[in-house]
Amino acid sequence: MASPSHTRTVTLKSCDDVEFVLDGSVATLSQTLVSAMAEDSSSSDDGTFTWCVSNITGEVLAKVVEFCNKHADISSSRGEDLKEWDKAFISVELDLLYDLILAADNLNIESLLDLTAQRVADEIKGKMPHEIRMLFNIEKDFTDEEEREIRREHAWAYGGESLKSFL
Amino acid sequence: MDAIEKISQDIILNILSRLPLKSLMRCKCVSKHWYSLINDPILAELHLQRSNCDSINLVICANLPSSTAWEILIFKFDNENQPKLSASLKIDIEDISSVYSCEGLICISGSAGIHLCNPSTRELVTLPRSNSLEEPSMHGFGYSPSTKEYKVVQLIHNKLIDGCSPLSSKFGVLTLGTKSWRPIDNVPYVLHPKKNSITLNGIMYWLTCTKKRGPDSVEEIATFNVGDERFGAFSGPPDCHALEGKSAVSLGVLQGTLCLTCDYYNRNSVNHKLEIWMMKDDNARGWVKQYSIETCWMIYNIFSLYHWKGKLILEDPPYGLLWYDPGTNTFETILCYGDAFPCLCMESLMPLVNRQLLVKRLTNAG
Repeated sequence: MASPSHTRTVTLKSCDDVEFVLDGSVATLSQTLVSAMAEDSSSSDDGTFTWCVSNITGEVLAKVVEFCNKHADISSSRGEDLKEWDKAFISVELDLLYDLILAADNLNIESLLDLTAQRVADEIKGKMPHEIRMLFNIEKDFTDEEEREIRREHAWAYGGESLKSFL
Repeated sequence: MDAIEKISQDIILNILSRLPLKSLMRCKCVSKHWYSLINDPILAELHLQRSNCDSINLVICANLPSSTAWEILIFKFDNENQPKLSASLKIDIEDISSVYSCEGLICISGSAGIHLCNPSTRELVTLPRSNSLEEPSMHGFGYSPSTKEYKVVQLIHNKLIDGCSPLSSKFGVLTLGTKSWRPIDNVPYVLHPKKNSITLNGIMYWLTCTKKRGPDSVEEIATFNVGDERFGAFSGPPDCHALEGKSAVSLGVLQGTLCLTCDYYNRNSVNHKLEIWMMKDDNARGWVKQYSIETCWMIYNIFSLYHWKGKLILEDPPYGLLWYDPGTNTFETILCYGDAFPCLCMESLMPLVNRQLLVKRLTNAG
C-alpha cells in the first residue's frame, strides 16, 4: 500500500534525462502523477517515486516545475499577486507555449492547461483566418470560392459594420 | 512548429471555447476540420459553460417609431454597465406577442408563428405550426441540461368559463430538431393565461390561478421539467399577500435563482411598494424577502427582472428599462422604447443548423 502522496518526494525525468525533484504536495497538482502514485506500491518505504515524462524536454519541464512550485505554495498562491505572476510566466514564445500546453495535457495539470489555453485563445482573438492558419500551421483546404461563401455568410464578423444611430 | 501538430482535438476545443463569437465565426474559415468543430453542439456547450456575466447581452425585439419593421437590437454592457448597441438585425416578422430567452437562444412568437433565433450567430428558424385548431394562449421556452434539448411549449386553454379562468389546460410540446408538436393533455394545473413563464436550470415555472378568485389571482407556482416533462407545484412565500390577489405578481430571475416580484399598488396613491422574494434553496423551497422598495415609478407590471453587478434591471412597460441600485435606493433610466420585448441573452454558439429546419441568416437593419 502506498503512503499518502504528500509525504513522498517525486522525481520527474524529462525525455532528455534532466531530473527534477518535487515535493509530494507539489506533485498533486498533476492528476497524472496522483493516479500513478496511487497505483504504485513499490517504493512506499523510501518515500521516493520516479516518473519519466516521455516527449517533454528538460527546458519545458523546468517551466512546468516552476509553475507547480509557485501554485502549490499556499502562502503566495492567492489573488492578484498570483495573477500577475501567471501573466509574466506565460509571456513566452509560441513554440514554448505549445510545448507547455502538451506538457499540461500530458501531466493533466488543470490550472496550467487553463492558463496556456487562454493564452493561445488571446493570440487568436482579432486575427484573420490566414493569420490563424499560420499560428497553428494549418493548411487551407477550402477553395477560394468556398472560403468566400463562408465569409459572406458571416460578413458581420469581419468588421466594417455600420450601425444606424439609435434613439 | 512540431508541438502544435500534436495538440489533441480536446485541447483545440478547450482553446476555441474561450473565444468571443466574432472570433469563432472567423475561425470557421480556417479549415474544414475547424468549420465542423465550430458547428458542433459540443463546442457550443463548452462555450456556454465558460461564459460569464460579461457575455450576457441585452437583446430587445423592437418596432421602433423610426423603423417600419421589427428589429432585433443587441446591446453589450460596457465597463460602466451602460448598454451599447452592437448590432441591429432585420427580422421579417409582422408582429410579436412574446419573447423568451434561454441558454443563448431566443424564442419569438407572433401571429405568423414561432421563430427561434440565435442573435449571436444571427441564425433564425421558423418552427412548424401545430395542427391544433385552438389558438395557443401562451408559450414557454426552455433547455434541459440533462437531455441537452431545447423545447418550446404552447399552452392551449380549453374553454374560458364566464370570460374568467379556464378550467383546464393542455400543452403542445416541440423539441428543437423534431418536426411535429406532441400533445400533453390534462396539464394538472391551471396556468395563468396572462403571466409569462420563466425557465431556469431545466425547469419551467408558471403562475397558476383558479376560477374561484378570478383571473387576477395567483394560487401557486407550477413547474414543468423540460427534460422528463413531469409537472409539479409549490406555494409562494408564506408571508406574501401577493398570491391573494392584492397585487401584481410576476416571476423573474435574480442571481441565477427564481424570484417573485409583488407590486402592492394603491389606486388612490402614486406610491408603489415592490417586494422581491427569492427562492433560496431549490429543495426546501425556501423564500426570502430580498428587497422591499418604495417607489413612485409606475412599475406595476414588472414581468422580467434581472440582476446585473449588484444592480437590478426593472422593466417598466411600455416605457423602457430602469436600473435600480439597492445600495442607494435610486432608479436610473437605461433605455426608453415603445413597442418592445427585452430579454437578457447569453452570447452563444448554439447552432440552429442540422435541426431539420431551414436556417435563415439575419442581416443588418437600415
